[in-house]
Amino acid sequence: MDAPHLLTSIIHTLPGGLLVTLGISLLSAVAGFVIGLLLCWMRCSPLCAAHAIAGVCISALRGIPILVVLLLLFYLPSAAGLEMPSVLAAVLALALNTGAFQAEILRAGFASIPRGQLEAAYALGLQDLRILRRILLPQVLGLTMPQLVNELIILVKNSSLISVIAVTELLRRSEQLVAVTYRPLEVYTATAILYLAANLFIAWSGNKIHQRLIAGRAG
Amino acid sequence: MAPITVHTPPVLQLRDVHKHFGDVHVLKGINLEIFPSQVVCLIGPSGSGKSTLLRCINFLEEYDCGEVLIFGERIGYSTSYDGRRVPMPKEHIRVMRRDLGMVFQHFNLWPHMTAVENVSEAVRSVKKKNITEALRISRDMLAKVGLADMENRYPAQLSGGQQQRVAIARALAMEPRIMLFDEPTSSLDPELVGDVLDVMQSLAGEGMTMIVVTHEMGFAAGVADLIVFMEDGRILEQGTPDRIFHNAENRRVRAFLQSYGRREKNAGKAHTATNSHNKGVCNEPTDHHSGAAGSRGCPQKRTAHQNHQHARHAGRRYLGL
Ligand SMILES: Nc1ncnc2c1ncn2[C@@H]1O[C@H](COP(=O)(O)OP(=O)(O)O)[C@@H](O)[C@H]1O
Ligand SMILES: [Mg+2]
Repeated sequence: MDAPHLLTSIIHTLPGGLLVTLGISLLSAVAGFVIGLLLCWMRCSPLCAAHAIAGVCISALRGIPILVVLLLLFYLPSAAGLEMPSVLAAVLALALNTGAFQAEILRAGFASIPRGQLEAAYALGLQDLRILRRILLPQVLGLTMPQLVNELIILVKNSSLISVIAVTELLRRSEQLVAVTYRPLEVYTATAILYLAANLFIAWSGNKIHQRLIAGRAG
Repeated sequence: MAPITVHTPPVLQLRDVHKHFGDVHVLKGINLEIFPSQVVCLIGPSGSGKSTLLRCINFLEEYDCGEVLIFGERIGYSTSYDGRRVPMPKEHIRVMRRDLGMVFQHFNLWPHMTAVENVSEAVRSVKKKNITEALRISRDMLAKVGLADMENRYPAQLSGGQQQRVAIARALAMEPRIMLFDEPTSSLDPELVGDVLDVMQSLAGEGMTMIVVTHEMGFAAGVADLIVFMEDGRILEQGTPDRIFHNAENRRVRAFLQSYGRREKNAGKAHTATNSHNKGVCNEPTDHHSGAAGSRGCPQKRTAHQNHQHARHAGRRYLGL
């Protein structure tokens, strides 16, 4: 295959895969954020059981490789006679993993907010959800944005693992392209550049959002 | 006892309230009645349980036994059919707290919100006002505490005294019927104390029921209707400022006030500075006072202010300075 032809194939194949990668990563990051909040809330709960369960979940999810969780999620339901869509298994596996890490990040964020701010909110009669949404989350997000963005970048890289269950994301498409072109060096270099570009963009926009969030407060 | 005990029911009653932190017995049977428009100053040595008492009133702190009645209704617990004490649903506590405004020693403003957002948050979400109405109420309140032109500042861009006045505005915007102040001026630089006390005094002048934990004896002597002296989890003595500051029966109360008098005398310089600052503002209404003195607030503000000057002198007289 000649060079211009190869370039055209790459341009036709890989960006679509990158979009799938980013879509799945974003979905997993948001789902992981909710899981993280939930775990964090259980972890901070005065109920011993909730605290313990959350602790075990966090340790397990951080300790088991994503690939293993992914394969389990993919094959276990079929053992029970259920069909597990590969995209769903992929999002779940990634979300559970990043959720455990996000839980720890968020916990540090919540812990750094002075208790008095909560007491003021209680004394005024604010509802718990409103306190979370208006008082806590904006501050926690501002404080932990750098770590959360870092977590998202790790997630994008980890998402290459889901190619093993035939989700046609960036790496999977690259493999398919290599199979027809026999040009692994060029194709995987292009793949690497796309991953890198995506992550640089995420880091850059994360930085912008962070600036926005903390603007004005410092005096 | 307070002058108006016979005909009006108390707005707040504490009956034999006890509180432990672990093994430490912090409140050892508190009995107290507070009547409408009364200004009660809670004084006493540090660690005597003043903050804890205040926090039991709005149930930021659970109490172990006894009862706290707000407008006759017990906060925090209800009695089940067989006479046992059961925790009150959170939602009910939230509703009861609307009658109680609280101001903290460390302001506890939300740093990611501007002054007006701090004030309007609960007006919107708890009083369910729409945003326009909430902003109008909040601006009025900020003007009332002399911060009309500061509404878009973040807490970090305000002085301690201004932050505390935002915190007062935030509590007042909820139209509470009782205000609780926990050492509102203790973390302020001396020259900023006067502004906050002015606001509190004008509030007292409007007939707000107030419970104030304070070490400002001048304010207590000049503004309070009732002084309550606490030590080691007990109320040792209560009475009019005149009685407590002149003729306290309890030896420990007298000793405490004497040590205070000495300290105030030694700090005479700071005291004069505060006073001259106030006079400056009085003669030449610039800075934050211009907001309140500009339009509606003017005559009232002046009167309150002069009262306060009077109160300060009275306070010094009480303390024999
Ligand atoms: N959250 C708490 N946990 C344990 N002990 C506390 C707590 N809050 C206050 N205390 C103790 O209760 C006592 C009374 O405290 P406090 O009400 O803050 O006194 P004051 O306001 O009069 O200085 C002190 O001995 C203090 O150490
Ligand atoms: Mg205290």
